[in-house]
Amino acid sequence: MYTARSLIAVTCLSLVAPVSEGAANVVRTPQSEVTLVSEVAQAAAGRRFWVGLYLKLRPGWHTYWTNPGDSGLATRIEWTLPQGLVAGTIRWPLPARFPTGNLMNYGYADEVVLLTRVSVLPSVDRGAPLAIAAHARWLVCAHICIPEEGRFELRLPLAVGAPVLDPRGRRLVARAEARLPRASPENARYAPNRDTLVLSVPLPKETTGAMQEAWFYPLEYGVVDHSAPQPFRVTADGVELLLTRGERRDDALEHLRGVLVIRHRDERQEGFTINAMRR
Amino acid sequence: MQPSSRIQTHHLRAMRVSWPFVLLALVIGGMQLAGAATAVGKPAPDFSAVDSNGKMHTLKQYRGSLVVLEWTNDQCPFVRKHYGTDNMQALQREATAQGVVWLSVISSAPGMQGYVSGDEANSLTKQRKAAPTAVLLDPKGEVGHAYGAKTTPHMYIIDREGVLVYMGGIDDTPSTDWEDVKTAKNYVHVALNEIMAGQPVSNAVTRPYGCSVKYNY
Repeated sequence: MYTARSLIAVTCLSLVAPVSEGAANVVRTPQSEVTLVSEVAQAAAGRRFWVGLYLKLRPGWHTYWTNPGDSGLATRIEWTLPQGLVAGTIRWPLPARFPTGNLMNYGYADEVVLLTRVSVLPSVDRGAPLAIAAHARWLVCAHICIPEEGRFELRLPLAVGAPVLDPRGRRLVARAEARLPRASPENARYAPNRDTLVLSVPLPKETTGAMQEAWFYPLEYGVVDHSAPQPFRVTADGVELLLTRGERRDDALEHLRGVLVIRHRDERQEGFTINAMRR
Repeated sequence: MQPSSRIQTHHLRAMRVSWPFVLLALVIGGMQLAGAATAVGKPAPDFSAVDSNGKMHTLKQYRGSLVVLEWTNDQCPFVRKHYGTDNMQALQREATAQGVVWLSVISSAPGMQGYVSGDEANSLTKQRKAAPTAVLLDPKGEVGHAYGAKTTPHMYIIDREGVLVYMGGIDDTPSTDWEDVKTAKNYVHVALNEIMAGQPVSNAVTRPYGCSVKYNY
């Protein structure tokens, strides 16, 4: 028993141990392979660029969106940056649903790139390569959940003029950018009832014309029941969803925030950031 | 072009027709859910469950005492954070010393993570110096489903009149990092103090965070 437990402890340690520098800037576990990518090989002062935490998961495993749903945990990244660099918050690609019984999780299977924008101030010290360090912690779950973490570092020289793209990084970032939600449609509204919320989102005909499915992913916990069906109907100027209220019955909630994902009949997906004012 | 637009029209019409029906179904479904699951301010569902020593417990028998329900799974990394740091046990000791009935509930189905026999549950209690009043074994998930328990941990507090007064997370810092226990605001601790001081619970519904409860679906 003792030996078994020590073995488990050692395995756990090796799962979370930082990986050596340079090309081995990858964390590999039985469940995942995670690395930090940049769209530029050389950064430029006064410009900004995307970096991405690139998570590849073994089949059957998933990781989480910013609101993980009924269980799970959102990925966190802490940045350590030289003076003159500023990192934004994670920009989350459109999530998917992972139901288990009557529980619902929101997240990603297969692979995902979590984007963060890095700005290089004009005042940056041009003497040395930029050392961009990230401490990332993520949870992967199948039937069971395993917390994983990694420390990653990118060293990017400063270009003399314009930034120099990194082809592979740019490709991955572009794919993730295409999966980001678009800006919030104006005049999205929601109306609270006793047990439901009706969400109305104005959308162009191109979007509503071939809709197969619509799903609203709430940003906050408890406002919307994560697992309840979300019947929708196409209206003259957009779409209306009937949401079931969650555990929090906050009638003072001014804005219903989240992401609306629309799946078309050809399987294409479109997503919109939603910031719906209360009617 | 023609056939596809016809399909679309049918599709839309079908949705229009089904809307009131769906609404009705949802409302009914919602009522059933609200009845089956729990809501703060409502009587907590009664239950009967056997503990790790084979003794039967019902909620009713504890009328007059504060009751804490703690969903747990000893293999879950979120649970390990709170037991590895003595956070959960310290709260159990403090609460039970003040007369609170603390019931840890294991709803993992046989073969699923966290499922244990009564003996295994007892040795876990001993090993971890845990101090619940009892560990309830709920392998069929009946108590779990009655309360809508989603995560381990998932915490509930029931007042002396049998009314649910708290449901949600153990604290305000969803993570598996042991360090976070030091700085997190422990909602259960705060709620128990408020109840004992005769005050309303300031955060009565919070986000539960953790592993999913390993029900057998």
